[in-house]
Amino acid sequence: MISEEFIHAAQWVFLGYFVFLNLGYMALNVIAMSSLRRYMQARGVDSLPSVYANFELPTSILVPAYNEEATITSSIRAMLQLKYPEFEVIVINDGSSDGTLARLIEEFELIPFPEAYRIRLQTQPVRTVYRSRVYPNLRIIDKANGGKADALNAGINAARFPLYCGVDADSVLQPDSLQRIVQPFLDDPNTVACGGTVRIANGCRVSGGFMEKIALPRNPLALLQVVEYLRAFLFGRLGWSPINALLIISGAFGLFKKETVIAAGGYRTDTVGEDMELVVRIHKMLRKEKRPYRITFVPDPICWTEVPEDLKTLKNQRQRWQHGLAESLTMNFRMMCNLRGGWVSWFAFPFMFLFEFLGPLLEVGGYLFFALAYLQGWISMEAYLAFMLVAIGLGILLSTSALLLEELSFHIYPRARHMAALFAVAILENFGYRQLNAFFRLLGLLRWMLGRKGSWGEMTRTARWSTPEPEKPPRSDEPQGIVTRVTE
Amino acid sequence: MLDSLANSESIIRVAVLSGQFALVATAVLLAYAFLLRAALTLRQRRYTAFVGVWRPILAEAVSDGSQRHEPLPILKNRDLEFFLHEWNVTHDSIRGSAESRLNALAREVGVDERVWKMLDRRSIRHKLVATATLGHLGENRAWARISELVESRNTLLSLLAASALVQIDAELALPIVIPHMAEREDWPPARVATILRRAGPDAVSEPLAAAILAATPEKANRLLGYLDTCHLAVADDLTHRLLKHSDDDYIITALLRTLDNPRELPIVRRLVSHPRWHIRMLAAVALGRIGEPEDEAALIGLLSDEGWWVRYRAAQTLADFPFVTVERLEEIQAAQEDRYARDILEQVIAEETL
Repeated sequence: MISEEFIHAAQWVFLGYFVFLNLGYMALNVIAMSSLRRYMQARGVDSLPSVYANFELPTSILVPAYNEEATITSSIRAMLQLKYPEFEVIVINDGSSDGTLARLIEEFELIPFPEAYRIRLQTQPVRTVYRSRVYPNLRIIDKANGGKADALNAGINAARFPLYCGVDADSVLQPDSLQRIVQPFLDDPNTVACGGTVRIANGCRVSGGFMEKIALPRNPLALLQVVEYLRAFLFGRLGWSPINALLIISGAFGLFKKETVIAAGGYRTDTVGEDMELVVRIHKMLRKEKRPYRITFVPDPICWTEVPEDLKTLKNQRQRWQHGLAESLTMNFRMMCNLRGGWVSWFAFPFMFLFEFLGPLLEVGGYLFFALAYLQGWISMEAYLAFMLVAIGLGILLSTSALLLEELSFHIYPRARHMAALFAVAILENFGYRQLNAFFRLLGLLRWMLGRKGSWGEMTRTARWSTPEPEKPPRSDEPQGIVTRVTE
Repeated sequence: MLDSLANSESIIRVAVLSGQFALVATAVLLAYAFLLRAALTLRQRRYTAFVGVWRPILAEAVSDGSQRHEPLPILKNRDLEFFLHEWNVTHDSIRGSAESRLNALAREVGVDERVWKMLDRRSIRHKLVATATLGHLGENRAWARISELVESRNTLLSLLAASALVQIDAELALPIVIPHMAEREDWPPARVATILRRAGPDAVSEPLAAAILAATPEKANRLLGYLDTCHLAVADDLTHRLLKHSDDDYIITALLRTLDNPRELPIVRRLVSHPRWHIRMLAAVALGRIGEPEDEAALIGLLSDEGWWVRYRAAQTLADFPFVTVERLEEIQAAQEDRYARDILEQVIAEETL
């Protein structure tokens, strides 16, 4: 028989978890609001044309690609049209088994190039480096399959410029994406990394690789994720940035100082959360070396991505994210409450550990415990409803406050009916979707605890928002590359 | 205390209070967000109406204001912010006589007087817009007030104030602004360089050179980044003096990036064997600008350097020399025993012939 004390203690634990989780996020929200206000003020002045003209640092855009033959050429074409004075695009074909490489070779008139490729980070073997006859700033690194992190490391080895921007092959960028994300590096030379806001492309219209019309997705699952992304980026990231405690820069779009990443050892290939793990490791390294640095974030919506529209893909994605988060935190656990760690060690890391790493366990545990306790007659109906009121009420408050941040800043969704729909979603997502997500994340956590290896899984992409490219027959002849010179 | 904590009623009370707070706060946020959206919609309508009237007037002022026959419409106070935005953006994209015509237009609609009031408001945004506008207007009367703002802890405001002072009177402004450029680590170099470019080499050369010579190596290094905004002769002279007397790596690095005078050749040749790789790399690049045929040997030596960038830049410099043909590059490559030297030359030859 379970004792009454235990029931009371469990009620306090779960209730306390929900209250503190939401108080924590509300605190981030307040920081984000003030930071966003300052940012929008500066943005007004920055929009004057001459403020940064021609001072942008040369940047290498790294695009890891694995079996992306359907969208790769339009994505690369869009990247080549970015408004930026000096940049190169390096596509890393990570041993694709489809026609990705053949499409690239044909579309961009690639020829094998005898590049004195430097190995500064160890990767799977590079087979051939190609250069385009048409675009002097486009190179393709064809290498054996080693995963996204390995591909990014190969891209870093090949990058010529001091900054590199990791971009997913299916990302849709704004023409001024690079100009926006590079600004923190111009404003503060101590900046070593900067993340950008990722928004949802489902429902929008993309033409030639660029966003043409912004609209809400019709698919309910994608619509629910719109509010979730706003919450994650507008205060999940922006809240940590002003105190230099940002632990995540999305792999879909992030700008890094190349030498800092190389000094940190590049991306780890034994984790599925390589983007977060790298950021945490950079914090750890620079804190240890007592070097001044900034890891920051720009709230402008500069990158668009497709989100899952079916439960299976969503489940895989969330499991992978949770797995990656668990790996990133445990691999760098020395950051937890480290004396020299500052805000990162004393706030961001414990926050992530308690509310993001253990969060699914406590959240799902809380719902199950209260349901079971009510069914078993351990607690009254009143107590059960009161708990649900807290869990759901605070969830709605958080989502609503994210939408308020959006209203105070970018108004990406132009019509009033868009806003009304998003507010409805902010309420509805707390009745099932949020709980389902917590369950998927719990599965990810359990997989990590059981020592299962994380994998990228299959991401079913519809790309309905993108106007199709004209069909071109694939080349039948496999490229005969020159063996690339490898130097150390 | 523990008793009361263990009491179910206290748990329910806390839960209900938290839930009620959440719901009330949500309702307030919802209402606020809808009000914001309503205000935004109204503002957008007003803005559309505003640009419909004023953009043609601004465009006419930029092209040639003399064509205007109709009287100017009255600029309503509520439209002042729109006007200032449009006017400042236009101002930033033009030069020459169009600037004076745009300034005359602003004075005619009474913007200059109204902007003064904005400068005294507490809101930083108003101060920013007012400072930018007074700078564009070249408003002498604002000198003292804007000079105070250069000291502001707000980076953006202090920079805009510096820029405005330079626009009002560059010669008077630079002796005030340059010491801040050396001191303030929060001023982004890109923006500072924009201000100096706008001031022009006549105004910049002398005070900047004097400040560099008087500064500590750390501050001199910061200021040397702006050397290309000076007259070439001043930059050359300063480079010569500093290269002769300074052994600070940062200063040498900054100088190597810009030096362009063959009289520095002996020093650059010496720096080709400097222990720091980035100085060897910059020396190789500098040889490309001022080197002679006899420097080929030094560059060939750098093809076997331990640093990739040194090898690459040396190979590029060789390839760019007017007296080195692709055939000569191939000869040099064939003669190399070092694999790294051969590889880097192969890459650069391929780049040359692509």
